[in-house]
Amino acid sequence: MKLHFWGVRGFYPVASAATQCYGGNTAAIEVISDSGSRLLVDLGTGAIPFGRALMAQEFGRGNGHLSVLLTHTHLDHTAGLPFFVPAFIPGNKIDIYGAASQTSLRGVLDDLFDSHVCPINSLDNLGATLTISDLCDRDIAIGEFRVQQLCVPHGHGSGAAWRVSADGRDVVLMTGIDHPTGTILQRAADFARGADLLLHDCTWKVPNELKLRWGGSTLAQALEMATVAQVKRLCLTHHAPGCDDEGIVTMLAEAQSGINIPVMAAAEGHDCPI
Amino acid sequence: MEVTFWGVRGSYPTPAPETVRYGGNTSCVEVLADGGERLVVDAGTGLTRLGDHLMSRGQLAGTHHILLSHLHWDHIQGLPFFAPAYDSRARISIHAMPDTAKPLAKVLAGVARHEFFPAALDDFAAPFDFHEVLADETFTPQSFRVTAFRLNHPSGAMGYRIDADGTSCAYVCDTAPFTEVLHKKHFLHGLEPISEADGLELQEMRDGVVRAIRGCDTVIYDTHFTPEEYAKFPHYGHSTPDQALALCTGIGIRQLVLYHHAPNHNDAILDQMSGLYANLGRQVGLEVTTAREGMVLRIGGAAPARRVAS
Repeated sequence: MKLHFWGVRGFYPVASAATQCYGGNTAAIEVISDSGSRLLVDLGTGAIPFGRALMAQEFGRGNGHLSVLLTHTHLDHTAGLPFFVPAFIPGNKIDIYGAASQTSLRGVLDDLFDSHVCPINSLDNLGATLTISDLCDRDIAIGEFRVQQLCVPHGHGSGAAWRVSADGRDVVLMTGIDHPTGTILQRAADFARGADLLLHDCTWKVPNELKLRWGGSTLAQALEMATVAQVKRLCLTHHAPGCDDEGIVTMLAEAQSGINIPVMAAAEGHDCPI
Repeated sequence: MEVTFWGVRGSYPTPAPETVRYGGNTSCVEVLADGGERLVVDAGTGLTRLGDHLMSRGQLAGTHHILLSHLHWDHIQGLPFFAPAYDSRARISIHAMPDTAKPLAKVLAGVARHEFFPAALDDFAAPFDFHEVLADETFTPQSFRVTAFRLNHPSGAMGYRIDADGTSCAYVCDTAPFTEVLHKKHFLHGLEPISEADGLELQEMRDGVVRAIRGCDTVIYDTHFTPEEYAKFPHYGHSTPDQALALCTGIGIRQLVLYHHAPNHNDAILDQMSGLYANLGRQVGLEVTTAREGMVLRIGGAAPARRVAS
């Protein structure tokens, strides 16, 4: 199993010469099994080039089938959907799984297409068949992937952490998680325990930056999560828009000196073997 | 008056090495009067760069006037990340066209809500106020004189003519040409036949645009498509440089700025378009400039474009 990073930025896309190494597109991570099956985690703007790449395959002929796991519905995890070309091709099937919340996931995603903000007007005008499921703390099988979900607090609502298993390996994706008390959520650490790779957001350097209520975690929380959960490797993602390539290199060096587990920083366009 | 381009891309941001020179941020233009007063037009991701720029200069406080052409994502997605919105000494005044069903404040509050953004509009330190803009109406934010006019885009859009310092510029984005399709509220799968009434309305809309922008020094125009792309997607609500040239020729305009570049128009394609339309413009007496992120244009004079000081 491996990952391919299509978008690793948090909050909003950053188009700048100073972010060309780590990339400026928002969250979209492809999980690929050894046999070539795939899942997509999140639909930020990174999903747009991913969608175009899919068009060269069965999705261009209208017989593609893709499953998408959403960590939450903030635009940096969903803004790619109205521009996700395979969704416009009749015959394609797209299954979207997200976290249950007070508002239905279908309703929220449909509002992305509302006529005020998008000329498509409604999810119903997409050619592909979309199946949208809100789940909470579920364990499901998607093809050869075993997918476990943990509902976690994020921003004003809830998000999901995902644990994906295939080929005898486990990856845990926690890219939209708040630790409201300051110390890491114990049930999230239990959920991530022993994973071969943990993806964790690390948007903030110090906790008081969280005062803006944007949600998300600090670098220290990411390191603590990796240590407590005894994962084999940590990958930092959801880079802050103000953090350019140089800033990410500095943060990575700080992370590596603070933990005995191998740490990397997710970079757009790169693979990460698990 | 000076215009700075903070975001020149249409549809969605394109952070990629192939678009670094022209830029990948979505629509946002800053208009600066000689006396230092500022108007912002559109709030795509380019607005985040303008906000950072204002923060670095200690200019967060005061009222920030933002004109919105319409509310499609690429024209509003920078709003919740605009640095002055986090400063209690600031105020954000939004000017945009009214919705037929509910007030503008409610429409925007419904968009900038916690499911989509980490903070809702009510959570910001700076208060927001909302002003509905009617076509052919003139209003005066600070010393600017702004005239709004209707454009041809799904669910509607508003163009703006801005006068200050004895000169003027116009923002004509987003719009389809005024010929093959009259955009209304419903979703278009393709071209639909247009009725006689639709044809008259299109003519009226075109006349309104020409009336408003006649004699402007500089016109910034939605030239999203090449003619080949337009032929495939005439119902998407965008124009080509040829259509912009045709409309702007012979009505006393000095300069046409190509703007709202399609996401697939990388630096190499935009270099080609830039050269081609500069030549075509010369033949009809128009200076044609292709918008680049960070470009600063002096309005009302022939000073060369420069880059914004970072």
